[in-house]
Amino acid sequence: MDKITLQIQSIIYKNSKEALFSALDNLEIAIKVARKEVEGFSDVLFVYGDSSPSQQLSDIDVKEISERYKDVFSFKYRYFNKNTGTALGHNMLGEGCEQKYMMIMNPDVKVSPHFFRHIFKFFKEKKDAGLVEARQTPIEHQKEYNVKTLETDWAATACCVFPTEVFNKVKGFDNDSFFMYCDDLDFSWRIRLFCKLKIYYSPQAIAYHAKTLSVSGSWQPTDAEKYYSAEAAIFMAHKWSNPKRCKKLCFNFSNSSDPQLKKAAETFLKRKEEGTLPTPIDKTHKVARFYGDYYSKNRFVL
Amino acid sequence: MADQMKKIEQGMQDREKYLEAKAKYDRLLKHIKEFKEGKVNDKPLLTCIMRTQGKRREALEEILLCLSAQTCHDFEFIIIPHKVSEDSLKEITEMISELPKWLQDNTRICPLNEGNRTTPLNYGFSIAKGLYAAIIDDDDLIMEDYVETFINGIKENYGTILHAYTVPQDWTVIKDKNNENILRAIAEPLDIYCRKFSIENEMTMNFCPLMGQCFPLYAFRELDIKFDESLDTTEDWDYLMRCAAICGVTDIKRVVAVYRMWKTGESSRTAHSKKVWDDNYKMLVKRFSEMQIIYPFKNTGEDRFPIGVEAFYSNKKGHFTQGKHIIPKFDHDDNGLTRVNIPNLEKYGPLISFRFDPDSNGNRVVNNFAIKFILEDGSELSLEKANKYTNGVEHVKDSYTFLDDDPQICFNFEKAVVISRVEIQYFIDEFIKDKQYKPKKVRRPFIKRVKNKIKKILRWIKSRL
Repeated sequence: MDKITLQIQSIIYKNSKEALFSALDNLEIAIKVARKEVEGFSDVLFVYGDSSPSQQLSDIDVKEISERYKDVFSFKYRYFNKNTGTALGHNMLGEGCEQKYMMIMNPDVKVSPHFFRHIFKFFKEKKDAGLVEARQTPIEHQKEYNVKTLETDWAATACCVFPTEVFNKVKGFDNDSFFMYCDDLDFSWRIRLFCKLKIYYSPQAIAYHAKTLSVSGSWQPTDAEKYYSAEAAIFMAHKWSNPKRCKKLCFNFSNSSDPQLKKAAETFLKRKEEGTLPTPIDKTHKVARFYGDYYSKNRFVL
Repeated sequence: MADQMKKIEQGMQDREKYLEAKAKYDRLLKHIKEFKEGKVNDKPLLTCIMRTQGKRREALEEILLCLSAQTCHDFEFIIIPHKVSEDSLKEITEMISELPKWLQDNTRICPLNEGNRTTPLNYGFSIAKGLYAAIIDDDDLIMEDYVETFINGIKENYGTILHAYTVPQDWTVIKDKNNENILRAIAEPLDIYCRKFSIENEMTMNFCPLMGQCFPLYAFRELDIKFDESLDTTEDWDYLMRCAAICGVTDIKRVVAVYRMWKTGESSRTAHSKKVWDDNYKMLVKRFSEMQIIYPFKNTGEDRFPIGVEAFYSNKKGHFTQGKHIIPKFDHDDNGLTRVNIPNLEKYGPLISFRFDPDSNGNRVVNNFAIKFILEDGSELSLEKANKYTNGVEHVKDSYTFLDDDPQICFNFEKAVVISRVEIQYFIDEFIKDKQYKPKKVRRPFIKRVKNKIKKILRWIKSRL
């Protein structure tokens, strides 16, 4: 296998330094292990994009991180001075990426020691691998994957790896339509539609992604999570040519008693009025799939 | 006369037991006072103990990752490789060497080559440096605030057992093309253990998975409350009850762990025969009924809950989620007849599916199950065209045997209907006769067998081309 160079990028938003260090400590081990067991695994650049209202890392912090991990990866920090969300933030960090592969991870994600062996196995063995997603723990993502081929419909970008070439070919994330939800879904579907590549799920590459479960065992969304996921759902339906669902969501959200859902519908309708909505694609639904409120079959519902 | 003498002897024995337990309780109270006055060395507050047989490498790797993700690093971690081979011990040591430095510094690998699965628990408790001990199995999953939650609990409720919530989830092990294991979640996490501790309910059934508890080590060290090594199963339930009777329990209403229920592969459930489970169960129920409970539990009646009886409703066929479930009231008489009444269902709108869980545990027989769906106008819904299905076996009409946990009886109606209330009654037996426990292998229908044979032949021909 050719030399593997990697850019790892994370968007931070008011994360504590301790949490960031904790994630970097795990990454450090995984990179060291990868250099021993992944053929060609070479230089790694780690980049933080800071979307917080004020800089989360001072110059001293940046120097400390660079120094602490200098034998493992080079480090860059970029303060955006605005809340970019994940889609725009990752596009800004990915622009002009010189490494062969890109990895996107949430800043609080902690990877397992043999993470890279399992991830790069796909790029070595499968020529059609456009994106490889890690398995999240302690709550595994519920979407289905093919247990034989390990193919899946889309990948969550809480932790995933893809060739930079693929990122450039699909022009990164659609930050015009998505702020922080469904940007990964749209990205995955465009990789499948425009690059004719596949999305793979690596159940053995484990990434710890903290989640809070309510005492009824279900996920508890915050107000912001509610708003952005509702907005993303309408934009997905519109962009991926499902006008019936788009209309239904707009109607339901507009008439909802939840102010976050109402606000999401208003944003969409305003963009519609302004004529700034994205042009619908995949009109014959070669890639896009809608299963009720989901975009793939699920093993279970959280 | 002999009977009277027996009663007097029994009374004296009970009195002795009570005085012994009361003395322990008084010593605990004194110790708690010392802790509050800062007279107890409190570093570290918590020791996490993990026993492993080294047989589940992938799961062990995952729980170690969970430990490395903890928000609070101020704990001791003891891993006890129990009766493992040298190669396996080497592998475990290597895995520990791949942890972040802070966790490596907090970790002790303490192999043990004797005893049964309970022995490592006594061993772990005896060498722990913390004031409290939490026990994690090598296939559990814990949340990032697992340690933090318990440490806060220790500071606030020192002396009592801490009981946090855990969610069971079905998992399976599949193989990839290189024959390596893939761990795969196959169902949503359930909330059946997200309930307040009730010593009364706990007398007959364990609702508290071990990884959700944190024990004061004072009870082990000074009050001589130790794990019963004659038990190969349910040792955790026994320890919880004997410790709770003196120390009491504080509930922490927070989900701190996922309890993986393996649907394939080996677990403690499959490693021991049903007879061992049944014998231990009967022995423990008797032991608990004779136990002196000193800690003043406030059993106001609010704590009592139906033992695992649940119902689910849905307006999508067979789509039952945790958000759409009801814990109904029920009566259970001495003859074993359970009556369940679920009113006010009309508020959920038209329903297409309904599920009833007569219990949360497996190894149950439900006999003479009768259910009535009452519509808004008071009439009864005809179930003639409804599709009834179950995850158990309907051994005779309206009687079911459930081997696995989470027994379910489901109904898909012909069309969506607004239901006003549901009335259910059944007899439940907690022990399955051995004949039922080992059902005969059911052969697939002839046509299916032929189809599979043809498929196999075609696959073979294809591989040869």
